[in-house]
Amino acid sequence: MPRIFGCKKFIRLTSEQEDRDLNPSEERFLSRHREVCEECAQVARTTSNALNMLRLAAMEPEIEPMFEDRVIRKLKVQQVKESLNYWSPALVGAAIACAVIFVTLHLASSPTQMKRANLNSNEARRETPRLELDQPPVLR
Amino acid sequence: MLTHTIAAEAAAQERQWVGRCRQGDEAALGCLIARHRNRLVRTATNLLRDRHEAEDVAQEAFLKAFREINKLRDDRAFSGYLYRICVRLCMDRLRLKRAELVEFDSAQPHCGGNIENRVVIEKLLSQLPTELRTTLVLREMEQLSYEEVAEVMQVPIGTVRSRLHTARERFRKLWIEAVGD
Repeated sequence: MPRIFGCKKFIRLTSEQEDRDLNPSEERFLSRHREVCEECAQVARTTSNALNMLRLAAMEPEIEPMFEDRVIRKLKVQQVKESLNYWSPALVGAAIACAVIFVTLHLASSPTQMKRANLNSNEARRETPRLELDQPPVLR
Repeated sequence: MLTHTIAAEAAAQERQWVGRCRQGDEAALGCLIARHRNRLVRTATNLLRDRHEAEDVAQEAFLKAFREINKLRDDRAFSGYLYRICVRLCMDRLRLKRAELVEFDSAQPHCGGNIENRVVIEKLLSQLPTELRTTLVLREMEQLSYEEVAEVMQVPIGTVRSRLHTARERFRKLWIEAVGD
């Protein structure tokens, strides 16, 4: 059956009917059009059926227990991560500085090299520098 | 009158909780989560059609909202702000998912069982573009008004109206393809 004048308006009003109360003239238009246009009447029925099935398919939530606790725990972890991210350049800098200071101190306090001659019966002795104060300095 | 008073009290209480949350009060966080979790999980479930993913998204929405709670200018806007984040996260996930095109055998119409109906609806929804799907679900399943949908999706009311009209039309056509008239 060929479509007649006003089919688009009928479709639009059918959709709007789901959301608002139509005024009397719009209601009249719909009922008159439905009588003369079987195709549009079928569209209206199908739309209504499809939307009803859609509404019936709405799912109710199944919230697992401890939902709040999990969110709060995640939030805390997130805050710790963020603070670590914030402080990490400073922490890395401090670690490098500590390492440098440690190595410097270690090198500065390390004993002078021992000579083989000072080793006597497996005993290591540090060579003490001799100060020759009684002799005049040699100028080169 | 009584309903109005209760709503005003609830709003005042929520403002207090938001203020306390800013100062790091854990109990207030718990109260806000308890108040909004059902709505968030339900909307996410209907949008994503997956309970586990919906719970993940709801948690993500809470985390994002709490992280940015200091940016919120008006404490009264918290619930809308939270809901908007949740819907946006759902839309992001829907965009990421590749739409699975399902071919229905129209010669064998579905017998209309409850679970089967859900599966069919799920498949039909997955064939709609994200914006149309979200508008349709928020309006038809979540029963939001045009104004609320417009606020959540941050589009004008006229856009909601036209999207809804298009979404219903497409959904109807998909429905006919799937189950017949």
